[in-house]
Amino acid sequence: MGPAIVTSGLVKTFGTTRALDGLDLEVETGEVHGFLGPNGAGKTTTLRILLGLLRADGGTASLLGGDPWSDATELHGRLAYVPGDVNLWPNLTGGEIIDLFGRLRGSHDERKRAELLERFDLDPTKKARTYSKGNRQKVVLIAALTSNVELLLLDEPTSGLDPLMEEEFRRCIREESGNGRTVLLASHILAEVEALCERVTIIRDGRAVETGRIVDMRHLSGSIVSAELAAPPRDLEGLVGVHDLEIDGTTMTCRVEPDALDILLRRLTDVGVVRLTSQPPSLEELFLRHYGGEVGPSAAARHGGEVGGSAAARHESG
Amino acid sequence: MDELRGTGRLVAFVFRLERRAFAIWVGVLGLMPALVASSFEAIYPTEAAVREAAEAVTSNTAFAALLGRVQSPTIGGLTAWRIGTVAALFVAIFSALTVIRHTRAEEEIGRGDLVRSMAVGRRAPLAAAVLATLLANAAIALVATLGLLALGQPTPGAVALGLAFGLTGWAFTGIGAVAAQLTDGARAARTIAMGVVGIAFLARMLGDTVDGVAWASWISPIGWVQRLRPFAGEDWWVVALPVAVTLAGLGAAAALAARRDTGAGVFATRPGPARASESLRTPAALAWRLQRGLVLAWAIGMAVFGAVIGGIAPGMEDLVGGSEQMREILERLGGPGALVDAFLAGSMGNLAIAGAAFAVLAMLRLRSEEAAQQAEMILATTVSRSRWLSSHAAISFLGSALLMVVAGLAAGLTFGIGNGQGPGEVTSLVGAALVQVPAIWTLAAVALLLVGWLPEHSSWSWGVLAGTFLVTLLGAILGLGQAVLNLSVFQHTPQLPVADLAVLPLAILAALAAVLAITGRRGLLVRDLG
Repeated sequence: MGPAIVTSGLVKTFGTTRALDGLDLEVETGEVHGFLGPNGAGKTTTLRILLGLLRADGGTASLLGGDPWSDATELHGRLAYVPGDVNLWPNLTGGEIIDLFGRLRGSHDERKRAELLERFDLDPTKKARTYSKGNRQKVVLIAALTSNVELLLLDEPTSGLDPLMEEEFRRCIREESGNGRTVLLASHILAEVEALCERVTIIRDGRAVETGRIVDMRHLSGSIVSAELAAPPRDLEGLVGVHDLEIDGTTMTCRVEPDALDILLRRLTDVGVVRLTSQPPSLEELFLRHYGGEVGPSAAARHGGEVGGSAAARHESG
Repeated sequence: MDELRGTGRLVAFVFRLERRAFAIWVGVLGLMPALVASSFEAIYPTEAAVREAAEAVTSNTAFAALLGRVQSPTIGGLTAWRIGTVAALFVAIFSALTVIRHTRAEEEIGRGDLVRSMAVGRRAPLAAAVLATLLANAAIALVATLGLLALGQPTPGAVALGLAFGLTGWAFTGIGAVAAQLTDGARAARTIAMGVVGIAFLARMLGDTVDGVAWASWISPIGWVQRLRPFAGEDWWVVALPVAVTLAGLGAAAALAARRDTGAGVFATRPGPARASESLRTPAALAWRLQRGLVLAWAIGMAVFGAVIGGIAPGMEDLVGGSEQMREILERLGGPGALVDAFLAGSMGNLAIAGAAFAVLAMLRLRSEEAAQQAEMILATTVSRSRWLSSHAAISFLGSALLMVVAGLAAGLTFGIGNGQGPGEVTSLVGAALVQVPAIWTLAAVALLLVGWLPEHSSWSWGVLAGTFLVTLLGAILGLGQAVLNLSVFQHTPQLPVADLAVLPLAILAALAAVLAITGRRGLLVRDLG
């Protein structure tokens, strides 16, 4: 079985803004793939091209072996989509909307519907206008999860969910993945991606800047080493493969590439090591490195935070 | 005063958001009296000519039904008669919709919370929406008065007509503000407000035509324009009526607003079914579910207006009976019964404008569903763009045809009862209503064309509709050439039952509608959505 999603050199412009600038993305069948990027990076635009709502200006895209634009209707029977911004019809109840989406997709599981309503604690008799943002999100999530489809396209699916519901969502995605479903999870919540995804693609300004297994990325980008020394360290500046060096008296932290580890340790033992820790970088650090943010190794403490100011505009271009 | 803190800034903000709309409304409604008065001056250059025209229209119940009675045989009197009622109708709609847009609609989508979270008083958003609308109406009144004064019309009349416009707008500002408190949905609030506008228009129509119910015009804010008697020895005390309604409405709205939570209405939203009905399984069923309230509300309105028109029509021959000369003039227009038939034909034209407004509204649902990103959830399922588009287009096309049938049926029934012909009139009036359908469809297809190719500008559909209406309504009076008149699709519709059925123009209109609709559909199939 081929990959579920392949895009190559995907380009999409809106007026003068280039929302996608040669995006390559590959999602294997059966995997949960994290699609990471801050607001405006092009995640939603990519999903909307994959859904055939937008037509790409350049590059190719294939979805479940078909063309997302010309085979849209047929392909949509095999996938379910959860948008990031959910607007429901105010006069319909949540229950009616879940049923409607199931019927329009052509597949839904009655037993699962009841179970998910219970698990997500949603009252299906309320009119959509009375739902909070989180509850609107639950309606479309439940509708997507009750359908028996091969692929789930999720665009920031947990925005507005409380931590308990977020946990429930993660459990659901693990179950779906266990049943062989493919999931593309577009998100900027790194903890969520780290918890669910084995492989991720990091996108910046409409291009993929990094893609692969999270463990490999960690390995390749080296470790964060921090040490307390007997005396101030010497001759560390300018070592090839040592980055983000911070020295404060007799303590030092830095990020070190695998090849430079040996020479670094020699220099440290020259002055005498009192305490030494080494740990792989978090996904947040990997991510921030591509965004020129503050990546000082001390940021390791802020593990799995949310990227980008929450006050920033929620809408991605398009 | 703390509760009103920030009102001034919010008023400025409403003006910023509405600057284009306000400019158009103030310009069109404000300048209309002067335009009409100056063309009347050209058409009726002598006092005798003015007097003759006034007499001719005064004895005509058809005109009385649509526009009210002429109060004085002067240029000013004719002007007040010709546009007073129509302008009142427009300012009423404008005022109620503007207030609702800046109160309930904002609250419904949650933007109201954002504004209230800032350093503004609790009552400031409502006060600002009301104040901005009142000011816009004051501007309409001022422009209308200045325009008439510039033409050298008598000052009291010019002031009275301007005041009548502005104060009608004020009354419906109050009514709109109350409607906005009642429901938690803006659509329902608009339906309530437009229902009141419809009832007010209907009450005036009955009061002006049916003996013994003249009081009906007195309870209608739209009837007060004529009761104020601009240019006909103004009854100044009448201005107290709209002012009282305005104050009562605003007081009631403020009291209701103080008692409810933000986002909630006086009428709470009740829970609904936990499961969708068996029939809700296609995009067409969803479109019907979303638009059926609109169809029903319009059907009631069209039925009531149709019934009133059919009910008034038989009495017309009696009224004109007194004047031999008048009978001659009218007979030359098309033989016996032509007066009644001309009235019916003209009324069908007005009902067709209402039908077209529905058709455009229903068609633009495609755009509002797209803009609200509801369409993308439907289109992410196995529903094709073509099926989704067809579902709403069908409501627009079939719904408007159905509305015309309803109007024709209602008019035919009451007309048949009134003139003793019985059900025989039903077929002829349903026919007269149905010939309007190709023209209506053409306007609906223009909306589809815009949604397909210029989605950002799909509201231009309203401009096309308003332009068509104005050309039909005022084209002849303003002395516009036939070439301009021909721009209105309704100019090409056979005026049944006065004229004979001409199939060719109908076929051409239908073909035009089809071409526009197919072109629009094409746009919607190939362009980016969202």
